[in-house]
Amino acid sequence: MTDPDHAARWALDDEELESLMIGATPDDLGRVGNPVAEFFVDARNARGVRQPSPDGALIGLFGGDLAGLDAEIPERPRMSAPPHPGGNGSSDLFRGPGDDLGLSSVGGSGWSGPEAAPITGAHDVRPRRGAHDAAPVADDGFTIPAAAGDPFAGRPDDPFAGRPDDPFAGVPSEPLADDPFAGRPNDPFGERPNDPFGERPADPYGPRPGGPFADDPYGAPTIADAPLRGSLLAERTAAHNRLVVPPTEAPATSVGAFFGQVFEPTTPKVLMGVATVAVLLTGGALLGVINLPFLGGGGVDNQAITGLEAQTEGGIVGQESETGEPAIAEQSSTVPADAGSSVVTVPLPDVATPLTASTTTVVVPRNTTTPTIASPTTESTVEETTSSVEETTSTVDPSSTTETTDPSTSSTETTETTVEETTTTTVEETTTTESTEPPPAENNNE
Amino acid sequence: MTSPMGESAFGEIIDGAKNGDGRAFEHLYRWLAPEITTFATVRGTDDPEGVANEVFFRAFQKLDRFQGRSDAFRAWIYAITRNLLIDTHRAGARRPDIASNEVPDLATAGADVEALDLLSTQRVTRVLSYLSDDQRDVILLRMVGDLSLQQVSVIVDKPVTAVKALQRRGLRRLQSEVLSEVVRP
Repeated sequence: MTDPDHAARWALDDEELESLMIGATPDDLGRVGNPVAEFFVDARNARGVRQPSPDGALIGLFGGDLAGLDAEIPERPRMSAPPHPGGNGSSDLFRGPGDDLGLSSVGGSGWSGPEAAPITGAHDVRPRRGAHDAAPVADDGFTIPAAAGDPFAGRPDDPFAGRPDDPFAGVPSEPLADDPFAGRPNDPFGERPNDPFGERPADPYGPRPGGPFADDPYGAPTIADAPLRGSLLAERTAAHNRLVVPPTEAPATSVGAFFGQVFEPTTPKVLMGVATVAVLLTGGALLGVINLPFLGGGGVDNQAITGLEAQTEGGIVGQESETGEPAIAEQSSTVPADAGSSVVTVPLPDVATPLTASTTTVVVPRNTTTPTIASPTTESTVEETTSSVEETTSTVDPSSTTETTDPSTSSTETTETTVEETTTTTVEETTTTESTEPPPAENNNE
Repeated sequence: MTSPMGESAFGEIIDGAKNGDGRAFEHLYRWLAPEITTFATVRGTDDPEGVANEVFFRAFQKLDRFQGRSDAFRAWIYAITRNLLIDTHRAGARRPDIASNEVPDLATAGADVEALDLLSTQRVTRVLSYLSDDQRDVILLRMVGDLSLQQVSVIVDKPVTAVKALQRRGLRRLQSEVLSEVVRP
């Protein structure tokens, strides 16, 4: 907690603060020991603590050829913080080794030419405040006379004057206001509530009734473990817009297939989905799960496409939609198993034309554990509606997305291109280019 | 503020630098790099020396088109520095934080370090961090850069009156933070 009395005793007025900022010492103000005044000493004393090596800049400039540069440059010592006893009201904070080198710090007269004075101390030998105060440009913070020859005065091409869009004004730290990735409602990479690949809460195969691998999630299922039997009773889970298939009591010879997910279509004419097909060998052995994406469209009621049937040689095992109507208009005939494989035909929803009428055949070779999908070379046909892609380029407000800085070294250009597809996908492509250019020096001419 | 070398000498140096004289470059660097480093340090950058190098590298690349007095050169260098720091800050904000593998040197932790910290640059930087970016820039450009209000107003692209207001509010805030850190009941 701050003691108000002490704080009031040490508080400086505006004039004192400003004079400290522009070079007065605590001694000048009779404020030696004042923590606020001493803070300015510390702040100024931080100057030159580190003497950076010019190698980085010069090597970058000369490509590593530093021949001719004088390396005999002593390190700059830390400036002395205490005020000079003989201070004349000016800042002794500038008193540095330059004084010791015999270089006058007053008026900047200690330099007689590039070859005359030692390099070290050039910075240190800054004019004391007294000399600075006597300069034509008043430094009192309030009165700014137009100094003759002031390079900033009245230049028509002053690069600093009158820039309408200060790219650095009010730039929030985080997040950036012009962050092209922030808060995009149509961010194609954003979280999608109906992500077909999202977490699926319900195991489509349900709890396994038992068996030696019942508790082993990696155990190889056996016929006894096979949960998918018989009819596929589709249920839509409200939270995930998903259909799951509970175990049924159908014969173990069935091949199960069910509808995995249905997107909520972004346009009423297009549906997309992923049919998750569980492939069982005859007898119930689970071979695996295949996700079969498909497209649909044509303004069909989404609720109608809630079921997917699976067929075996025995006919339709089961199908159901939430509307109670068969979701599949045309039943694909079952392809009998040939000598070497069981062929499972999984018809996808045949919705109104010109929708996709897809039939995907899953060929399950016997005595193997890897199902192969015959489509599209054999019986799988996917007809996609012709989609026209309209590409538009949005015009972005330059003040918010395109920034030009001068002589700033920062230039941020943001280009937004919105590609609208008439099907379902909206692709928003954002390109952010940040380039840094050295300041145009021509702006400092004259 | 004019250069300590005088305007005539500055003119010779700047001409030499434009002609590719390495020593002239180094003269300019030695003149301003320490205070640029300080400016970058107390403004809170992690690599002030690197900032100073980058600033002069950029300046030297465009030096052939520069014409002006030494005080214009100083203001120009500070403008480059400020913009570079803003760029760096922006770039850092877009990058994910990467955990440092550096283990703090616990052996140095102690009362003596805490006492020294009161006088260290870290303290100055910390107190200055309480200011807004504009307030901090104005005060540092004035205090470290010894730039006039007019020059600062040009660099920060704000009217002189706005710079005065920023300066006044920043100084008051600075005093308040210093007193709140130091003054205890």
